[in-house]
Amino acid sequence: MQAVRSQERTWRFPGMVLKGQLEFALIIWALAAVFTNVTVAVVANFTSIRISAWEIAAGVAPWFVAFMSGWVTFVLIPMFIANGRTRRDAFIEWAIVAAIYPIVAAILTAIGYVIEHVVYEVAGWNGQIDDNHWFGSRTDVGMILLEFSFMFLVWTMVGGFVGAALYRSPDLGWFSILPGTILILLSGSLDRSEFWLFGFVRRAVPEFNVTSLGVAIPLALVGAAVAFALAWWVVRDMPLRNR
Amino acid sequence: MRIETRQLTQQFGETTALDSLDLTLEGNKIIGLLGRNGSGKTTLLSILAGFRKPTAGEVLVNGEPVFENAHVVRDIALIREGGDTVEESEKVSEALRFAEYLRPNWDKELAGQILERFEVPVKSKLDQLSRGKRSAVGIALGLAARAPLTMFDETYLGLDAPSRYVFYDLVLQDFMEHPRMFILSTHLIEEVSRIFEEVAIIDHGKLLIHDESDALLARGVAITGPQDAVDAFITGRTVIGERQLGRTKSAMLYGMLQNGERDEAARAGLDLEPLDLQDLFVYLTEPKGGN
Repeated sequence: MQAVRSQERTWRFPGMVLKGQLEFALIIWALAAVFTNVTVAVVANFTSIRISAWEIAAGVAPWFVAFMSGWVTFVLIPMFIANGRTRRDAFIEWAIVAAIYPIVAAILTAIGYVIEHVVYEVAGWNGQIDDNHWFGSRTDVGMILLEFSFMFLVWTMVGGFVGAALYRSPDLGWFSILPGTILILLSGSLDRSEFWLFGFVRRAVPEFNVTSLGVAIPLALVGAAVAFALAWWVVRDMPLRNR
Repeated sequence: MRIETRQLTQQFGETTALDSLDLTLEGNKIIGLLGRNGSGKTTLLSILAGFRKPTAGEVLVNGEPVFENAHVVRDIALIREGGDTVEESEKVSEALRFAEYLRPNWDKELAGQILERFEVPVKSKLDQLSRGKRSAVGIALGLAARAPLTMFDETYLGLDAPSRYVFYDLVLQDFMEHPRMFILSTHLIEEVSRIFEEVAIIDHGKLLIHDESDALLARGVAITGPQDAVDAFITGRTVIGERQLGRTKSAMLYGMLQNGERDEAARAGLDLEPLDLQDLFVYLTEPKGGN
């Protein structure tokens, strides 16, 4: 028996993988949205609300996104290979997931801000969001989407690179965290923390405004592209482990 | 289906797992791949499946390189001992779902029948299953993939004897219904050798012998009879093993007997039988064994 040979592309749109990942993200998002708003409601009985609870959840989100991407490269790419697929095809399918996932995660994050805005308005709470965002309010949905899409993109690519490196070498793979961290720091204008690197750059070159989209977006794209290239460098001839 | 390895070499640091291995396998057959522990069987199968890129040399399947060749690897299924097509923390149903998603010839019904036969709970996670049940999952994934090249690398070791016989029957039945090339790597030579049409033995990363099973077994003979007659007959011949019960002796000889020699044995009242593949394997792969 010989399978029919064809010349068409051998990868496919990773509908099943994407669906599974997005469903899980939706569940986590819903839990986070309920948890943060309920927690704030409880805390409001004892003290005045001065911060945004969703801001804290959004701070954890990049780690979640990176972990999920790493899980795909650590678990699914080897599974694809074991089921008769090439690394190239599996990697393309991961890349599609890694391109769509940050956008969906950013949409969920933005919805979380809007929900919190409504809840805080109704309850009369005054919790503020941080001032180092691209957006100035919880309802500035366009800028929320833009900021988180690019931030999640970098973290997704770095997570994929680290996941693949850890699969390839359970010992040496941990060293991938170092270049991964550097890439995230370099793209740090998207992170709300003020990293020393950007503080230093800002002091040395005052006109280098990291909140400028013209700087931040290219930085994020370069960081994501480098992490993507590193991930492929790890995956391209990765042997399958024998358990 | 035609597999050809040329000067295939795999190094792991200082260790040479495969040493310039040349091997050609052809046709829809059930082929036994035998070798001692560390002989290079798993490494060879992994390279044949594109799971690993060799250090040197090449592997051709139907004339095409295997590694990262999408049109070739989709026709290959290798199930290694743990049935590692999915993480152990995943459910059996996930493994089946992905196999259905990725395997072009996936037979869902067959997979279900095999799992039912081995009483595998599909909603369980793999790491919650016994070794035998995990083996059964591997068997289902391997057979239901219906890949033109299907390889099992000790997948069935965790099964008890009755279950292993079920596996052998399943392989035979599926082979009859959907002829393709099967390669079975095993240590359980005695019980599985009956289904091998061809056998390849590798030792220290090199091909020791590759022949049809019958031709291979004809390379040796077991002689049984009175001790004196056996001793007289085996003098000057290559004896690879002897057993004795009372005055009856059995000796295993390596080397084909000519018709005249067979007549001589018959006249001396000796019974001649083919060697067990396992006895031959042990002799061929023992440290000072001959070729």
